[in-house]
Amino acid sequence: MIVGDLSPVDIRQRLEGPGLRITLGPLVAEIWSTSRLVQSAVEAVYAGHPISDSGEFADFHVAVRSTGGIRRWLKPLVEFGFDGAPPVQPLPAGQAFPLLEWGLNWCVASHCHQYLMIHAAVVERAGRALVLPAPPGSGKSTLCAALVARGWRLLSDEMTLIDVDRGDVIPLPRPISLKNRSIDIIGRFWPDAIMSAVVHDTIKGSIAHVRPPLASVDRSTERAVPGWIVLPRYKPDVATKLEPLSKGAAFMQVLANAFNYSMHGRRGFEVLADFVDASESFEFSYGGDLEAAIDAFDTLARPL
Amino acid sequence: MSRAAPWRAVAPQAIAWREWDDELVVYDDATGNTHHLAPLGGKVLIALLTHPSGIELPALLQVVADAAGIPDARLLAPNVEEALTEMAGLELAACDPA
Amino acid sequence: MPSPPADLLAETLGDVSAVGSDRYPHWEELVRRAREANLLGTLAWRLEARGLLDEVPEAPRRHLVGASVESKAQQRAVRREVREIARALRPLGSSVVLLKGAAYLLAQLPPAGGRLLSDIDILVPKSKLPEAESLLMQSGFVTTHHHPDDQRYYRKWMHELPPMQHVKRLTVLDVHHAIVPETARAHPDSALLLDAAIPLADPPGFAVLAPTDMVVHCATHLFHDEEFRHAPRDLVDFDALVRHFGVDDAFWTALLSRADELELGRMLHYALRWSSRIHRTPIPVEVLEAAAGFAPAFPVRPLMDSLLGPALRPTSARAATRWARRALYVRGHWLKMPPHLLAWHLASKALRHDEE
Repeated sequence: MIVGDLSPVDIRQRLEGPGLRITLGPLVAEIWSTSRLVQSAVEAVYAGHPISDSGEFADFHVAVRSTGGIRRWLKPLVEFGFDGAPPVQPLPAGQAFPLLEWGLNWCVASHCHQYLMIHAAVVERAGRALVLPAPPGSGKSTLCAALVARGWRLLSDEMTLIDVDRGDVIPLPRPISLKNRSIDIIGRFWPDAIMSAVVHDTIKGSIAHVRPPLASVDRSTERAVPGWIVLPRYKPDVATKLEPLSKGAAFMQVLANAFNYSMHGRRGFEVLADFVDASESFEFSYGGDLEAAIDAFDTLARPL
Repeated sequence: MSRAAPWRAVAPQAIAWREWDDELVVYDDATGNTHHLAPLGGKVLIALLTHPSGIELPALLQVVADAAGIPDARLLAPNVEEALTEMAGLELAACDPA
Repeated sequence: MPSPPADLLAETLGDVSAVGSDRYPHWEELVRRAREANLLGTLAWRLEARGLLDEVPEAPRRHLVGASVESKAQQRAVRREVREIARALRPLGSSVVLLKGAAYLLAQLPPAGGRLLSDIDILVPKSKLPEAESLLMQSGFVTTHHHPDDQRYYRKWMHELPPMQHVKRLTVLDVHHAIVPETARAHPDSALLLDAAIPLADPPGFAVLAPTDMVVHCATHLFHDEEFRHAPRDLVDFDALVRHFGVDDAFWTALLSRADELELGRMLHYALRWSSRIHRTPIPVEVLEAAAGFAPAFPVRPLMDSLLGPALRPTSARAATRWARRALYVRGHWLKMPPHLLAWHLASKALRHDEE
């Protein structure tokens, strides 16, 4: 059963009652919330995700709930709850769904040290992973959404999980997070995309989430082997250009975006070095021409 | 004339490295740090790692010159010394007074 | 599914073979409680030591393996850091005593197995405090509390300097001159502790508390943490230490008089009582009885029991409707993580605790 099989009322009853258990790639999250905004966003962007039955092990139990106290009548706030989470600053109630998504990111990044985790979008074609490590402002999520719109399979728009025993990439397909101008850009580029309502004035600006295609969610147990590491550099009005990057430089760039490389010690080094070794690495400059960008990546993935 | 102290790798058993073309990426388990070494620095470190009991500067220059295909080792001296100083700062290389 | 027992975590830590069956029903609850109590690494380590980790079903095993990776990384980092601190403090010329987690690790004591460490604590003589602080500053440690009020508060009322953090390595160090705050009722004489400390071979110049003192300090720490934030974990430390040192009869003979001498008998009494209740720690009956002599009079005693019970037993409420009282993540952050990732890692500024 998938979330989309449930009626809005069913979704609400689960979210407010025992919790809605959603399978996210290798993980199961039990989500609890009374926020209507969370309910409608889950309905919109998690529709294709499988529901896990209550007998199955849930990895994370999270809640987005109103803060108590008199203040809630003046300025409604929501907070994120998780076993073992640090106390955090509540956010305006209107940001409940982004808070859930950020909170889930935090859960994975802080606890899934069985993987080597890279802050990078990752998509797949022909079994090979295209990893886009993300320096801030690189336009990684926009590129990721555009690639997924044109048939690349979404593994993750935020976190590349590398299996330290096998060296391959484990999919964690979740809604793609878009910011500010990207929301309209992707809206035009991918008119069929299903998005959650735009949330304004978050600390990251305006935020919307895109439902991942069913084909990506359905194949979330299929891993991908290392394929390409591409460092995107967005600069307005720059011509689209894909240039080879040395492996040493690629290694250091991936390292700079690794969440828990140092936790794995020598093994982390070996796993990452093998990954870079098995990938082709490039630097990609683009000025916002997504069609040209997709062409460049499609050419990369075309068998010789 | 007093002999110059030999150079050595600080913790050879703690070092893991990968060489791609001329670049060396080094993991040092003793400090937990990872370094990206330019071609010459990489050759100097490999020379130190292959001489765990230490190697004096002139011999080191020769090893590096041979590895880099440079006929006159003396030409490399300033650069190798600079690389050694830098690696000493990173706790990769050390020069212990004999 | 049967509902999990109240002391699920303590019982499992005490006898990990309970999880051996394929149909063990409590994995989800066990992982939640262990994580909330900061004991997931310890649980993983105990399973691993008994060769049982591979038999754990895949889903919970991933969390155990993750915690084990984390604890090993923290322990590597703490070993490196202790060496750096030892190097910085060498000119001090007197021995520096490691406390708590770092002490268990460097002295290779049982609580270290799989333990997660939040920071490094050291004890130096009060007279050496200014010199220690300046040596540490020269080696790159800076104070974390910049407000003059905070500085005054620490220096006047606390038993430690304001926590210091290394500018490059981001590690956090607490420098103590006593094991309880100046404001506490008891004033254990730090000179007694320093005199009895046992030198470590590595790093030279560093020492750990003598067995009785270490156990008494562990008991004290249980109750001097305002929110009992780490209480379940501290009690697990206490149980492991007592089991380890308790095989020596001389330890038991010395323990009570030492606690009395250090004015910390009552703390020891509570810890012994609750450790034996929750962890079934083997404690000689006569020791328990004698320690009861340190207990407060009625009606404080039942009151304390009712307060301590819940604090010492981690229980996980439904659907994450409860906050964990865990330390701010950054404090226990031994990663070398680029600052922009660190910010992200805390799931953006919005999820950052505005502690300072």
